Amino acid sequence: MLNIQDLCVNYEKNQVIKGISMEVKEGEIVTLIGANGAGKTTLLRTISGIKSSSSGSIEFMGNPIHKMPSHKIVDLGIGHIPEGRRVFPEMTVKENLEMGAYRRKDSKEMKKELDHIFELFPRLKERISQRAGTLSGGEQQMLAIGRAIMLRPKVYLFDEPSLGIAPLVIAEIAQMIKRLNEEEGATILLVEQNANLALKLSHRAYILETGKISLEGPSEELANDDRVQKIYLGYE
Amino acid sequence: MTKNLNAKKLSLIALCAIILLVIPILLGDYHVHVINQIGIFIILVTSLNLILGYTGQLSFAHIGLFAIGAYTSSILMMTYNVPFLLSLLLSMVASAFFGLLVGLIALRFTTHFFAIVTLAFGEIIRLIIYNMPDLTGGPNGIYNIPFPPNVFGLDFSQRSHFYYIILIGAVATVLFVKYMIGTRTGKAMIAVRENETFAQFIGINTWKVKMISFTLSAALAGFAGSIYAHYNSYISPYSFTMMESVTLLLMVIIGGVGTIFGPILGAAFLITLPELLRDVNEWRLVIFGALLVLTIMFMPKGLLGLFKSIQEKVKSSKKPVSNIDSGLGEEERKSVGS
Amino acid sequence: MSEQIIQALINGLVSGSIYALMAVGFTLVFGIMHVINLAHGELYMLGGFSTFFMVSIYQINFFVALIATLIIIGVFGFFIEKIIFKPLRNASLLNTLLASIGLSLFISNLVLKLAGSDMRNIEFPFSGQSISILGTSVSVHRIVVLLLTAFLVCLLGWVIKYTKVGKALRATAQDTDAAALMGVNINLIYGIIFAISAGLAAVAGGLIGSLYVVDPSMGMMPGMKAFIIVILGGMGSVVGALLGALIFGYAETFTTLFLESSYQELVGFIILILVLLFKPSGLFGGVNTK
Repeated sequence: MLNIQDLCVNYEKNQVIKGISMEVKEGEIVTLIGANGAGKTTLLRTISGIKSSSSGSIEFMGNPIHKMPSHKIVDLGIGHIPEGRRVFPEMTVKENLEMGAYRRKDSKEMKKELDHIFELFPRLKERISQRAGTLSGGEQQMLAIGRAIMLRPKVYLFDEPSLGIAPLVIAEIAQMIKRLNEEEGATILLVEQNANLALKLSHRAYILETGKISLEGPSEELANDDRVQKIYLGYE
Repeated sequence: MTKNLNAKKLSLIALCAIILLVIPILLGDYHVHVINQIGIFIILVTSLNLILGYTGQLSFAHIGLFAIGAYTSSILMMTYNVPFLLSLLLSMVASAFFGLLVGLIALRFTTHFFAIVTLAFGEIIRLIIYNMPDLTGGPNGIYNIPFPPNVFGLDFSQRSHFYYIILIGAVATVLFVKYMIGTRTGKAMIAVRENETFAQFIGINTWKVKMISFTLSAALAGFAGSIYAHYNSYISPYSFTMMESVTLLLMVIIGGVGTIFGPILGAAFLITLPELLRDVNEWRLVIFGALLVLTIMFMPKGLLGLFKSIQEKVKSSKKPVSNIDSGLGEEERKSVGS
Repeated sequence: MSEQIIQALINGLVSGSIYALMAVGFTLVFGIMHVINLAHGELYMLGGFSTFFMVSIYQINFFVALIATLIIIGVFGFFIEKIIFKPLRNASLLNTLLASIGLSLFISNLVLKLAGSDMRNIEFPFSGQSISILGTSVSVHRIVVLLLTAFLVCLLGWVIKYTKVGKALRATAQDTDAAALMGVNINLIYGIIFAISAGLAAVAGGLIGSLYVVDPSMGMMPGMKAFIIVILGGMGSVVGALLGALIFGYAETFTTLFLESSYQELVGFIILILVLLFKPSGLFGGVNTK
């Protein structure tokens, strides 16, 4: 579904992504692991179009999207849940969710879809009229996911969903990700610093180090790999 | 090898010096007048370049400090019979003093706010000058400002003779700034311009550096003002408006910020241009405005920057800088090379 | 004496309203796009001229001319954003500031050259008529100005709160990246914001042109004052801009009443210095004073 070839991304004179090739097939959960500064967030931002690449290509369902503006990429079906949740702080929970439907013309379905989201996240229903800036970290993350679901995307890009979230809530979110994939057939690219979690959730994994892919393979294999265990899983 | 270069440099400087000394003899009165104006503005633009080009703070107050220099010097000489050199000195002190005051308030802020506070002060100065006719002549200005007294047989009521005062002033100013930039404080100024947060991080007292830069540049602006007043013999608040402030700014930018020759180029360019385009003088400001926009959009480093970037492109292209890290890919990194 | 005060109260309100039109646009552009457009005053001036030409030369009804001006200068603003500010989006704040200064210089002097420096007045349909309020006669003209600006401000508020575009505007203001990820066309939104800002300023220019005069240099001081008002109200706060405009309008009017009118120009700068000394983030600002 998503095919990246030799992608290079610069910030001014710094090359942050130095020739990455990877792919995400339909129905997969693929994870991208790496330390801070490795370029994971930059990669996702480049895929969703808010950062431009300097060379290489990104194809989504056969369409080249690396030169496309972000709003068209959203139309094609990529839903990016950014690092740090990034909910609209002054808008209510409901308004945030409605923003997910911004691109779509049919608002008749809106009530049904909102109900569906509230089914998935009952806590959000309780806070439906609350300003999103006052929610807890975990609730904001759920809101961000719900908002992305409203986009009805074909691929979800999750950027560090576990960052700054309490462990109990992380489990909930992990469940949600699994559910999206298994029940709704969603394709997911998950970027995570928490390698343990990521490898458990995903089918395949890539390891990103200073802008390059240094290792890739089925998640189970990588989880059992010595080097990965030492560096990313904290084993001794 | 170095000996040859030094000899080359010296002979070039000597040649320039000779040309500069001989100009008023070679050229007619009109041309000398144009060059004189350029010279005065070289001093003023260099002063603005010190705070803007080297320290990175956009100040609109300098036209006001220029005015303070002009008015102080004129009033001292005319009303209080203070001799020329002392007036000159005192007007520099006055400008520096007001520069200090403005700096104290304005330097609490950065970029936009700093700019508008300095703009406010520039305007306040002009409005005060305008509204105090007893002291400053108000909107009518001051007439018959005396020329500096004759010295060494030079009669400074003649433009070709006054030229030498301006020459000495401009050379002194440029050399002073060049020297200043080489000192520790000067380098600190550049650090502040490049990245103030980082400069603080490495222990530079950025506020102090900015204050010094601002006050010194104010003094230089006052110096330019004094010379301006005694050369033109007439000043009024209309010479110190926001429009002039913007023209001044343009001179700094077009020439190339943060360079020694930038102000010289900028002043020369923006003063000769209207002279050359005499007929289209009414379009002067239209052209200036368009120039400013186009310069920022396409040549943000000014004329000098343009030359430099052409130079750089002709040389080999540089590789992008990559991050350093350790991890799994260490073997890979080694094999790829640096 | 009290008649003078009532007149001053009304005049302050009128001044404040005009300033409000300019300040609201300015603060929107700053708050959402982080651009300080020092050519804002020139958009006001262009609005004055546009209205003038339509009314005087083409004999178009004043109110129709105002609406047309809003649209024309609004579109012009859209293109200015595309051509000049968009390419500078990655430039330093300083450079954008300088570019807008250059633009201001260019536009004001171009108009000066093309239209001459004569002052012109725009004819107003109900000029000369007045009604009585609290025992004082107030010109209908001023009342209409007040009503018009109130209407425009409310209209803007309605658009922002209840329309889809308004929602996109709010989203962009709160988190530009997130808005982009929801499919908001950020480039388009930026253009629209600029257009709104330009349109409002243009109407202000047309209104002032009918109350007083239109001339090529009329934009500089109001543009500056709009900036000061926005600092007073808090950069990016629409409510702050409205309140700040009223305060500013009254400060100027009462200065003229009790002191000399030549001090009026100073008032603005003094207010600025005071605000920056005591509460740099303005009345409603929580943003950095950068």
